[in-house]
Amino acid sequence: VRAGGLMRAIFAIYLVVIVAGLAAALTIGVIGH
Amino acid sequence: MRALRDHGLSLAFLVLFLATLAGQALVGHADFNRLQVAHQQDPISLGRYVVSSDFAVDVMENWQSEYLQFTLYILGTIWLVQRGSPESKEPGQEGRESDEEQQLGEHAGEDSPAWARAGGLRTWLLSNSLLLVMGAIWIASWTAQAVSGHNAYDAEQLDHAMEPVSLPGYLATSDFWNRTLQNWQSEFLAVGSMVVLSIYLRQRGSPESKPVGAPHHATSVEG
Repeated sequence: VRAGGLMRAIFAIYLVVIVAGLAAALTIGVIGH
Repeated sequence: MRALRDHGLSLAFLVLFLATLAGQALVGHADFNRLQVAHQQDPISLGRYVVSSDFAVDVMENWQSEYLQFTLYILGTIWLVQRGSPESKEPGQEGRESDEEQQLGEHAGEDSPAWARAGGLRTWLLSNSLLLVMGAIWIASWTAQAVSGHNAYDAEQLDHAMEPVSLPGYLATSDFWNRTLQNWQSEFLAVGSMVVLSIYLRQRGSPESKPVGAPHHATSVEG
C-alpha cells in the first residue's frame, strides 16, 4: 500500500465513523426510539 | 509494518475509541437495567440498549463537547496568544497571516494542495476547512444530544407520571443544560491547563511540549 493511500484510507475511516455515529444518534432521536 | 508505524497515532486512538465505546455500551446497559429493575420494569437486551435514546444522548453529550473544544481552540489560537506556550503563536503574529506565510496563490509550493493555488472559493474553503468540519460535527452532535436527550427525558417523565415536554421545552430544561455544561467546563479547564502548564512543564519527546531545555519564555516552539 502506498503511504498516501493508507493516509487517505485512515482519513476516510475517521469520517465514516463520525458520520455514522452522528447519523445513528440523530435517527434514534428523531424517530423517538 | 512500516506503513502501520507511520500511522500509529491515528490507528491507536481509533482502536481506543472503539474499545471504550463498546465498554460504555456494556456498563451503560447494566446501569440502565439496574434502574429498570428498581422501577419494577423489565430489563432490555444489549441490542435494544445500543439503539436507545438513553445510549445516544450519553455518547453525543461527550462528542459535542470535544468537538466544541477543538473548534474553539482552532479559532481562538488564530487571534489569541499565550507567551511561553508551545500551543501558541508568537505574540505579534495574531490573525490570519499573509498569503506568503500561508503558502497561498503564487506563494504555493510544488507539493501544495491544488486548492491552495486556485484562488477564490476553493482557496477560501481549503483555508477554513478544519474549522468548518470540526464546527459542523459539533453542531450535529449537539443537535443529536438534544433530540435523543428529549426522548430519554420524556420517557422518564412518563415513568414518573409527569407531563412530557416538547423539543423546544426540553432545550430549556436543567437536564439538557446540566448534560451540556458538565462537559463544557471540563473541556475548557483541560484546554486552558494545556496552554498554561506547558509554559513551565515539559515532556521529553512530545510535540505537545517545548524541548526540555527550551526557556520558559519561549513561545511557539515544539519539541
